[in-house]
Amino acid sequence: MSSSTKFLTLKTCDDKKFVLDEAIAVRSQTIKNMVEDDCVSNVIPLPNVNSKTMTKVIEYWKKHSEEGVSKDVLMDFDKAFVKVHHSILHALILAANFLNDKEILDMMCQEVADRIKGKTPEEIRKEFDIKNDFTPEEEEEIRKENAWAFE
Amino acid sequence: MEVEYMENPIVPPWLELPSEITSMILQKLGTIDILKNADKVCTTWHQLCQEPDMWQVIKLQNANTDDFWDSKDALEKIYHPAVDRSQGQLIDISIDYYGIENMLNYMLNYVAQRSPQLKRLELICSYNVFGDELSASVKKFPLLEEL
Repeated sequence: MSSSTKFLTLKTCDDKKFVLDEAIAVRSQTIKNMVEDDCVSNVIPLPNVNSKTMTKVIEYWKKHSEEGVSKDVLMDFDKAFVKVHHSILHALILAANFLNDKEILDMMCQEVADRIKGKTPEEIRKEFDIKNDFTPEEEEEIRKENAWAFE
Repeated sequence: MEVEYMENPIVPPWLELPSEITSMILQKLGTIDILKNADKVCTTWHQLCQEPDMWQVIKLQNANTDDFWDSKDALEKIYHPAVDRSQGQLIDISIDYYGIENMLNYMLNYVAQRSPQLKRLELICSYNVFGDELSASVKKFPLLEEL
């Protein structure tokens, strides 16, 4: 890094501050736009992201910005990165959406999809704590549409 | 990683995700999982699974067990609804098919009649020679860019 490295300070919703190399922070399209539009003062507020989630995001950004890091290492890193509890997965999706980081968003959505795949509707409801809110009539209609799945 | 499981016993409100994100997740499931399972979980997901946008890309993969695709049932329960739900907006379809050629031809015709905007068709099949009938079917996609 040259001596012209610029640092940005990000402030999460729980008032924690993160000082980060601008070159890394602009992995977030949202932050990048702010930097390009020159509307960055001293501190960038991130009202939708808490410090715990931001720590994870920065961990990802730093790893993926490392020089000379091999593809295999990154793949292993990503594999471990997505193995988190639902609440962190959920928070990371919202954070990635707010920060407009398509890479993280895509990876996290893929992980959710992988956790849905191959499960029955009932198993999915249990895993994701979703209520079956169909009326008996609606359920009957869907049952008719797709009789084979209830065999 | 186990520690994080322990720390957060509460399940987050998955249904409160912005609908475009939920759609993004559901699209990654693949056609069979969507129709067979996700569609029936709750009304929110059911509605998203009806959106034509959701069906611009159809991937029919790993469906070759037990002569699955040779059954009329599979066509009616999965293939037809998937193509129908796109309401003509289908742009990209991949079919992983090892069944009989007539059936594939029938499937292509079905897409051809309903998907004027199709740009990409991917066929993974057990025969590499395209019969006349198949060639004729393929010609019905005016916007096809990639095969």
